[in-house]
Amino acid sequence: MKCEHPSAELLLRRLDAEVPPDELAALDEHMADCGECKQQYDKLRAVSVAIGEYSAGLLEPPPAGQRRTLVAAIDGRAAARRKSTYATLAVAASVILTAAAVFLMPKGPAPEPPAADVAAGAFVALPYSTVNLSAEGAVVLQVEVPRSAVALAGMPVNNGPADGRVKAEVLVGADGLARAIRFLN
Amino acid sequence: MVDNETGEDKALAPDTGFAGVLSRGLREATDAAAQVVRLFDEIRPGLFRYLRWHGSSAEEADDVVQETFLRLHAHLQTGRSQENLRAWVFRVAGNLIRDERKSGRRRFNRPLETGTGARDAWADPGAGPEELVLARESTRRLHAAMRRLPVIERECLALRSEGFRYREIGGILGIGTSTVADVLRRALETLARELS
Repeated sequence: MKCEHPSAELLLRRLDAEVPPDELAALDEHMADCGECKQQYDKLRAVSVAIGEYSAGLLEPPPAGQRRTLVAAIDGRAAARRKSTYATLAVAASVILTAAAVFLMPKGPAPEPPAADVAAGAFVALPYSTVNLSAEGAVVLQVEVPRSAVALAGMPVNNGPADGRVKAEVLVGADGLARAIRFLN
Repeated sequence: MVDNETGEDKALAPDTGFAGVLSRGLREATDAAAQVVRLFDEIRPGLFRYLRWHGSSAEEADDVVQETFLRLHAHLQTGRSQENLRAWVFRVAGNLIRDERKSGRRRFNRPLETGTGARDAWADPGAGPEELVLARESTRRLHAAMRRLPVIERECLALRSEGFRYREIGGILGIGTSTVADVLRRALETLARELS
């Protein structure tokens, strides 16, 4: 009976554990009895070991501070990206609040704006937060929204034209949570 | 205000509304940065070796490593797929170095250097002086043969050395799995002949 030797590619696949399970048994059975294939397989394995050793020798330690440089670069790019994102969010918030005002205002009288004394200058804690938390690492983001929308949201604003716009600052803590809001006009 | 369905106090839930969007954005950015640093620690050695296989100097390889991980951060921040990020990193780094090579900004394709830590591949620890000389000669021939291999064969060998499966190598290089197997077979046969 003529001996059907597996191809060199199949031997390589066997070495790299890339042979499907249903072909593996027959291949191993052949290799156990075929000195020629076993020799070829061992040669492929020896070359692979040599390649692996060569590759391992290419490694050099990272330059001093490479990790720190990467982190700084990430922070720099992230800050630029955040700025852009917040600008987009501020626009989106304005649109959403304006839409809310349009749909909700006719259904009832607008709530009386409370507490004029907190309207400008001071940060007002958001419901789930407190302004007394550490300000370390916090950032302040500027937004601009319609006055009527702010009133509808139950936030304190000064009396003024309902169609006017309110500039505000949102204090965001280092943990990423918005802490407080302050109205600028 | 308590949610009737969940029983949770809505006032304590920071992930709602405008403030929630802000919070989530910042939290995701922080998570992405931490993930990038973790992957950098894990992948940098293999990626550096892969880039050296491409013929880049150590300095050039480190520059590409840095840019690759910055791109990974941008990738994670935009919420794109996180499936097999290791393969993603190698694919991006390979593309970067090929682009730089095309643009001529760097001098790539210099001969592969002999690895500083590579041992004599065929040296038997118990071999005598004559056998050691022969083993060194075999190693020298092997390295010379590697330098003459086509780029695609070197790339496949490098990725195989890093433990990637054929399917992953194909994905990284944009070729089919059967092509990967064929390329690897050719490369190993060439190198094996050098050592016959």
